[in-house]
Amino acid sequence: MLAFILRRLMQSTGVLFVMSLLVFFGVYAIGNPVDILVNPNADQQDIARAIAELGLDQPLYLQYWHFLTSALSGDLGRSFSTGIPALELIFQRMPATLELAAASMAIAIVFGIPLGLYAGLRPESKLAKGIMAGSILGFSLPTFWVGLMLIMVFSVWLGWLPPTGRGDTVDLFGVPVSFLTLDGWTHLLLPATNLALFNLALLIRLTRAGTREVMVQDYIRFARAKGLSDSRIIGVHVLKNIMIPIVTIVGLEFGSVIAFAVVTESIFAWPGMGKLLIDSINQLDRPVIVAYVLLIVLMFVLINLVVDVLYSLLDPRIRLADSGGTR
Amino acid sequence: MTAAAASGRPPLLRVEGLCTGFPSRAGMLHAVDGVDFSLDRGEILGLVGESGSGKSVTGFSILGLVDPPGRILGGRVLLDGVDLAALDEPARRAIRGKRIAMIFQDPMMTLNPVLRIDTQMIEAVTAHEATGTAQARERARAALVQVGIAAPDERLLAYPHQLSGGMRQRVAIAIALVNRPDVIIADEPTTALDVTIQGQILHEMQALVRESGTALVWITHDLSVVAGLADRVCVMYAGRIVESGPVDAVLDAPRHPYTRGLIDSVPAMNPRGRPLAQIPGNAPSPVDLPPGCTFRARCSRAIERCGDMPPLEAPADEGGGGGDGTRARTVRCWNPVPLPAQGSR
Amino acid sequence: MSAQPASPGPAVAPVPGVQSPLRRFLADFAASRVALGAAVLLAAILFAALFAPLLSPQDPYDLAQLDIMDSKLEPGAKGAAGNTFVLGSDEQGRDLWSAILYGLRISLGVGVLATVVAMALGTLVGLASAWIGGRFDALMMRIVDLQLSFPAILVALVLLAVLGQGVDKVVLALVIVQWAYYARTVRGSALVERNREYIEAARCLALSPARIVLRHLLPNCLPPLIVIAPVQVAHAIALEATLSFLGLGMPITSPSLGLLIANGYTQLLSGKYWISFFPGVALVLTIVAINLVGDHLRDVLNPRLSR
Repeated sequence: MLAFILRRLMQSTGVLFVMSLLVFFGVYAIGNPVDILVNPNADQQDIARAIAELGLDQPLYLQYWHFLTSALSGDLGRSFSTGIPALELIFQRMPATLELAAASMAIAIVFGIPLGLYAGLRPESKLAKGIMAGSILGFSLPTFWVGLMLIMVFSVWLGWLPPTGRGDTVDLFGVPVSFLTLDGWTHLLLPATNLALFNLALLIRLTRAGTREVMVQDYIRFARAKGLSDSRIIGVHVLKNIMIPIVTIVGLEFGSVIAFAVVTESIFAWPGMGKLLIDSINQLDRPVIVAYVLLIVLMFVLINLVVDVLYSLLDPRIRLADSGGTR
Repeated sequence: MTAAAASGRPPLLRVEGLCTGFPSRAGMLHAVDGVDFSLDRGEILGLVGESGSGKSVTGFSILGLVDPPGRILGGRVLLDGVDLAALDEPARRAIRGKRIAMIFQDPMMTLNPVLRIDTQMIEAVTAHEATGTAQARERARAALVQVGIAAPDERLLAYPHQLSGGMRQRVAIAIALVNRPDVIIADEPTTALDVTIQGQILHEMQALVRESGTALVWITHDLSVVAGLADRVCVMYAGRIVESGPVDAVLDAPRHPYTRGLIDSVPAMNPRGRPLAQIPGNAPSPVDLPPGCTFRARCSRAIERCGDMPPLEAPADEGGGGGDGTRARTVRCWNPVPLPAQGSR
Repeated sequence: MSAQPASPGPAVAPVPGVQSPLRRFLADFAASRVALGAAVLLAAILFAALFAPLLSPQDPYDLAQLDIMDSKLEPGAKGAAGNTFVLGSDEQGRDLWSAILYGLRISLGVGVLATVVAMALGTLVGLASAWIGGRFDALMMRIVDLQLSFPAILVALVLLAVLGQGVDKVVLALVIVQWAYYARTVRGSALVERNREYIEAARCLALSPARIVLRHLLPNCLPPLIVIAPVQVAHAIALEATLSFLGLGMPITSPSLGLLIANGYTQLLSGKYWISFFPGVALVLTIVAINLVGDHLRDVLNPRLSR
């Protein structure tokens, strides 16, 4: 188990290294780094000083070394527009994005798994067919348009929920969160629902397919022959089996939810790091873009690592594979 | 004849006119079509037939475990005189695993791969009794010892994939035994195992039911297994019982041409060197069963009367009709194989 | 079935039961009413996109034809010149119906173009990877794995942030996002096909590797591509719309559906829903129609699923 984690850790480091090379060449080699890293409004003197400061007059491998060491020490430059270190700016916005992503994952799980379970247990029922048709829509509809329609219906026409912003926040361990205030909840509901739709559809299909596959297994029939109640069979025997792929997908999807939050945050003016990215792109605030890319790559690598480890913990067949079972 | 039957008490398990069907595009598929048999305490009944003869579906029907859209179309399953088919689902569930337990064919598939053995054994106890987990665990441990598993505490903490096939089947048997059921239905539990393990498990099962007085229905396609294990045997063909009786009588002097054919095709039951006989043709499709005797098309003894379905009754030369058709020697044939001449055995 | 007695009548049209593969395919396809409806809808959308200039009452990007007095008219309202705005008008008094038809052209064009280029590139890489094998294969598949581990939207966003706006850049970003799927798919089927007897036979004939790969191997790797291509076109269209909505995709001079929706977004909060709503409906109908047709195509073409 430990060897497995170590091996995966080394792979992840490799991926990070490759990505740092890619970003470095994207920024330094293809584009003109002066354009990218130095504020275009700066005067000639400032530019000359910045070039010297960033070591842009040095050979490429030394530049990469400089880039790598300063990135590792958390220095990814300062935002042009605010002058705040790029990384600090992103960390300020990160809680909002994580909260939105977590809320949307929660919605997808709370509704997706029971609906998928129902559709898998009663595949011929009308409700199940309706659920499946709905899940096809969830896959096909573009997220951003659904977001607009949610605002149109619930904010403009019905006036139930606010269309934009994050609402009141409360500090939880020094981090501002929305979900502890009613106002925060009303602001969170629409964007989280919007962001959840794709994963809701995905979880419904995954749970349904898993349930149908498990229900015809002999061990379910054997469990019934033991006289177990339906709730025990579904709640333990079925769920525990389908949980393994579901946890994997939920984990992996958490990364893409953070990526897709860029769209949802733009629509609902949710002050997260996705909106920060779009704003930075529009303002040509390149250090922030570079910092965002490096950070999101790191997050993806970490998520993949955690999911892999979690997967091997969940499935006894894998968990015990190298600890040597009796067979 | 056992004491219970002689004393006139109702048999422990009695199946009457059981019919189970699966709807299909071509119409209702009658997998089990009017099966009768009965079973006393401590008795071992062999239910023999080819694959598709309806023997497994009979087993599942008794427990009410037929997979939908299949369903029981008619007949009664009486446990101590109570009709299980008429009970509602909660009542039937209370009987499953408690009074009637079942063991399945493939031990690789019957244990849930993601649950530990102790979970799967303890839940079998707590599903029926309000026992504490510790007490249920002790029962589970005892059941494992009973089926001859060494180091039961270690096995309880194992996952199924850590055990060998024979070990898993022993665990499945232990789960069946853990509530001391009145009846165990075993659906070819040794078919998927190595021959040596097969023999061990057969022997152990026999000893276990003898010791505990549990009745056993052993479903198999293998006559030689039945020969060494069962007290009585029912031979099934195309959803019906075609012959039944005490195991020695049926195997020594089969009256139905199908039973005769089955015996002739088992190598161990034939003298070395004699070519094995085989039954010509294939079992009929349950979708369009021919009218009359379903074995007619493959039968060398078929006569004109076989166009009508023969009843299951005692053959004329062994006392003729009468009897309740479930206990005595019976055969479903108009032209049964003649009894061997006395002294030729 | 096959024992059709010779008909004594005059020249009999194709014998029923002995259909050509195409006829059987069409019959199978038409068996699903949903798929048939989607196919008709898709055909109508393609027709509308192709003949947009003929079908639209005005050229939405000829400023001489726009009247600022017609700004933000409701659907069905009459304009200053007495013309009817069936789906309403936008801020600049542009007829939305016309704008949608033109936008459909751009969205479909970009989606199809990007998919075709990505498919060609991916196929090439996949074939080469399977044929050459070894380190080249390992390297290529590492790149594919790496890229596919990040969501398409993120990769495209970052690329466009670096590249800047423009039709060519959007197409490039869509190609980069998509090629890896094709490379992986083609490599998979090429690895299977490579070991078949007909390739052995072609090698024994000492044909040039290029000829074996392109004339023998490639045609046998195409079926899975045909199955994923329509779905990929739908993905590309949705992705382009999303990027354009975020202001990172198409330039103002090439207003795709996504850009139209973005333009209406500011009006949405004041209740003028139609400027965003109708382009969105056109986008959704296009994507759903392509997905339904693609799904059904897969079911019909996949022999394992057919009865």
